[in-house]
Amino acid sequence: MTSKTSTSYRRAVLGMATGSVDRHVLRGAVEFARLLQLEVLGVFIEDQSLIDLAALPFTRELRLPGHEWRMLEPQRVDDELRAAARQAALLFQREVESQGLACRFEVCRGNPAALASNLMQASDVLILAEPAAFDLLAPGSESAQQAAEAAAAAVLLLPRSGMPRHGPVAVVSADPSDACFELAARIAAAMGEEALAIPPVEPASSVTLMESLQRALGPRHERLLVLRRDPAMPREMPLEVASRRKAPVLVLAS
Amino acid sequence: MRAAFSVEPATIPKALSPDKLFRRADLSGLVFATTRELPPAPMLAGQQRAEEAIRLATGLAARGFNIFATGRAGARISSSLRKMLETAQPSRTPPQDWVYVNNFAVPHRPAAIGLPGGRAVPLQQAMRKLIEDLRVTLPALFESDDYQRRRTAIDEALRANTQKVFEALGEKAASRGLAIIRTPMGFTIAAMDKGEIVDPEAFGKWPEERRKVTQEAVASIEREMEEGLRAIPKLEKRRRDEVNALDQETARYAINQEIDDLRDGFADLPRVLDHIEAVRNDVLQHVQLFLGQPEGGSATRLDAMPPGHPFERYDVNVLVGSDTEGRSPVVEELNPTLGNLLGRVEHMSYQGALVTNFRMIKAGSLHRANGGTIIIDARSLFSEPYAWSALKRVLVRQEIVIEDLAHIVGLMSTATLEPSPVPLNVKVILVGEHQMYYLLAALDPEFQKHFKILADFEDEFERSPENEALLAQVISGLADEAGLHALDRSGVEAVIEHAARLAQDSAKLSLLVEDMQDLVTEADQCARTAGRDAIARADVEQALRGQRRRASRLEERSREMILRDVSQIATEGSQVGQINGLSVLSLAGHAFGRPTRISARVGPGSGKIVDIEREVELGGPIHSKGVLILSGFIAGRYALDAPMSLQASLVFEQSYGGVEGDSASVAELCALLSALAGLPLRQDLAVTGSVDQHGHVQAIGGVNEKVEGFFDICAARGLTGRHGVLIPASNVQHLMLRHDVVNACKDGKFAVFAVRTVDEVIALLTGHAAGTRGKDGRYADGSVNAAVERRLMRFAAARRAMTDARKARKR
Repeated sequence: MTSKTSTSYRRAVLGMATGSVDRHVLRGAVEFARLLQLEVLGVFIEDQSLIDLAALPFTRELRLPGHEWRMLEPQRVDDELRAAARQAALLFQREVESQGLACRFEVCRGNPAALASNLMQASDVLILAEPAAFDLLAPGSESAQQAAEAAAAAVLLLPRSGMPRHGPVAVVSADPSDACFELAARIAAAMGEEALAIPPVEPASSVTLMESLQRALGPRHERLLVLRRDPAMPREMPLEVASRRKAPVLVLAS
Repeated sequence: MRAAFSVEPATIPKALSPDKLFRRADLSGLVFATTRELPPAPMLAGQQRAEEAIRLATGLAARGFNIFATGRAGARISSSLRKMLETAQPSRTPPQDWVYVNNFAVPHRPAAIGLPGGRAVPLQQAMRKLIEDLRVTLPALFESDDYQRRRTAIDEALRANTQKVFEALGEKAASRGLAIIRTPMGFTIAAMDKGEIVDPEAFGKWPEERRKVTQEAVASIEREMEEGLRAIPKLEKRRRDEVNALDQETARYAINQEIDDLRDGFADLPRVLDHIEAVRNDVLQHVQLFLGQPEGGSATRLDAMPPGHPFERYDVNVLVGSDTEGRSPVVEELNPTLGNLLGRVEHMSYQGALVTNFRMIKAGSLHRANGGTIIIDARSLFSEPYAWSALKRVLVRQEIVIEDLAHIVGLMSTATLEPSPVPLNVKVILVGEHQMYYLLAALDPEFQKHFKILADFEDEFERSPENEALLAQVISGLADEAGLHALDRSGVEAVIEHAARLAQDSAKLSLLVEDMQDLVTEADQCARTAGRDAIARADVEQALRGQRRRASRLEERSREMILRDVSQIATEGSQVGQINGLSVLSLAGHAFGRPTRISARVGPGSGKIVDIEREVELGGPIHSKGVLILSGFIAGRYALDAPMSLQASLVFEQSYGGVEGDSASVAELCALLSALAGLPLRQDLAVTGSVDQHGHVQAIGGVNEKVEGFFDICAARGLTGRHGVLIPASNVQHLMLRHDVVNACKDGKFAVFAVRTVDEVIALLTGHAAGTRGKDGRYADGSVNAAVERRLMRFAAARRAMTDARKARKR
């Protein structure tokens, strides 16, 4: 555990499963990786259990966007997973590789939770996007987030749209010696913005945190919010704040 | 009794006095030293008839009273008309400005709006300012906390609704041992056991009842999931509608304020107000356009938008913005293509496709001339495909409809615009040659319906002291406009005298200012070379010599052939049946005269005069007519009681080109009479003139060139005092001979004789009187006519004898 000590982040990990990232999110990830000079690892996990599931004779698939039902066939699922992986690789190449960052793209097949758990390290920043409407139906990022927490990695939550281009880097911590201040200052300097300390809120909730941000920033919006994971913090709080404030939230390991 | 073949002096015409050979200019009524002191000439000097026609037509607003101005090319009709009309006071409705704006309801039919003169550009500027202001105001408004709070509330409501539906579904699925799984293409439902998807093998091991229950649960959750997913687009649509409503509500205040300010400036123009309202509604519906500003730096200005940019729709395309200070516009279209006349819709290549919009509508000259006059060169108009018929359609419809040539001929199938027509209020003036006018009137039944007024421009006008003074003012204007030296009195006189020469008439003055402009320009150069401050007679004459010299290569070659006896022209002695005729060659505006030997041979025959030129198809119809008239003359004058028993041949010796015109018919007749009478004709004289059946000599053209052409040959061989030219008396008024010819005549070295009848001609050429019939019906002995008649009677007798002998042989 790094508990409130400085962590040297080396890698931004980006899950590239269907629907989880788009060009907007990728650009946010690239910007963040560039600021901290991180290597970007794009990962596409082909869920083996899905192929196995297709072997059940009654399993059907509701296909979008036409909302038509079709039987789930193992070979077709396999083909479509590979096609989705190729498409993700292409998007990664276009949006990340072309930016001149150190980067890699990997396709893995197996159990997503197990693969994520094996993959995540404490020096990683897992990049997760605010789920799209359909993702709410079958959230696919939970295993990755759990793996990141288990590995004491940081998580960057990106809103789907409207990320601010200017504004201070806000950091929430009660401990002046918390390394998150140093990290926030470093990011702010790289962005050419100021770093602004926000006192922790009691009780910790997305509403109280947003009110606190509002008080501190006035009409401005933070360009990035940095906070440390806390057992008292509701699990969904960082994502709600990112979504409502339309600003990325970087959650450091507790 | 006079001696045989004697000449009666009274019948011989005298040489013309030098004052008949050239008429000097008389500017005695005009007091000036140089043309700088002369007042400007009135517009359309010497063109009263045309001026009246133009004033009538321009004052008439009725349909069809357009003008066809005819005249020769050098008359500078178009520029004269333009000057006259530009300085004219407005007599009709002041010209309007015209703009094209986007038709928000039917975008491919842009709307034309007419505005009072001078209001189009302010409208365009005001509209551009409106959009630029809104592009600053609206984003600021939409970034305000108030707006953001309300917008977030809407987004959150959707998210909460969606989450609620999906969470409920997820919980229901979990409660029945199922999970909803994302697939590459959608969703599926899986049976779960201890948090893991049940694989087929494990599922197969489940009891039958459990499998059945699970399958029923899957089917049930599938239905609910489908319903849940179907609800998402509706929720999203509701969110969009709410956001749109919020955006409109937020934007309305700012937009209304800006647009109300704009309306105030155009409150007197209902059509503009309608358009502004359309803009207001469109901006409200497309507020989002104004919110996507590029980061850092100003946004692209409306006037520099690339094609397809969403803000283009609000721009104003100024088709015609008046700059004539309220005067009616006068437009001269030098290149009257279909597009240049009616305007065109341009296209631009954009991302591989040809695109267009109302901003790419370009005005035609008819748009620019609307409310005024357009001058079009008729020859250019007719050489442009579809232009004439398009112009007639415009005149019929009384509105300008832009027609696309590429679409007419099927060269382009790209979608284009159909701009609304612009009402036409234009006086059209076509400028062309006389022949074109008459051809159009004869061949195009619609022509005179559209061009009811003929403005017939004169090539020349009467040469009176007043008109000479008027021409002096015109010459002054020509020099002044071209920035040339002024002309002194002698220079002006020389140009006026040249104007008479150009008119080929000492009693007329040419109005072809183009030629005079050229002469004055060249004379100016001569004056500058000579270091003179004003153009003098010497400069004008030097310029004329230069003009002749530059164009005289063929003339000199022709003369050289005669002087080297390659072309045989005798200029001394006498010959039977041979005479010097005169012809004029005109090449590229340079005309020169040259003598031609005409010879005649006679014998008994059937009364036919063989025109050898015609027989070999070198003679034109008018020449043939002249020769046939000779038969009529001979038949009418001689051998009245016997059939014509003459076989004669006439030829232009060493002529290898075509011969046209009847100006040699007097010479031909004299050659024939000489051959019949056996009397030699003087070769030191040349003859020109046509003749009628009664022997009257008639006028011909090119008299000056003909006299000078023979003079040049004689002068080169050495003038003897007996050389001269016989011309029709009716051509004396046309004489404007060169100074060297006039001086030779003055010195008695050359002569010009004016003749009225063939009898005068024959007397001069033979030295014998032509003769008249006495009371006995016979010509006097010794006369030419007596000799001719005797010969013809001999031919008749010979023919009779031959006929009798033939009859006797038959018997």
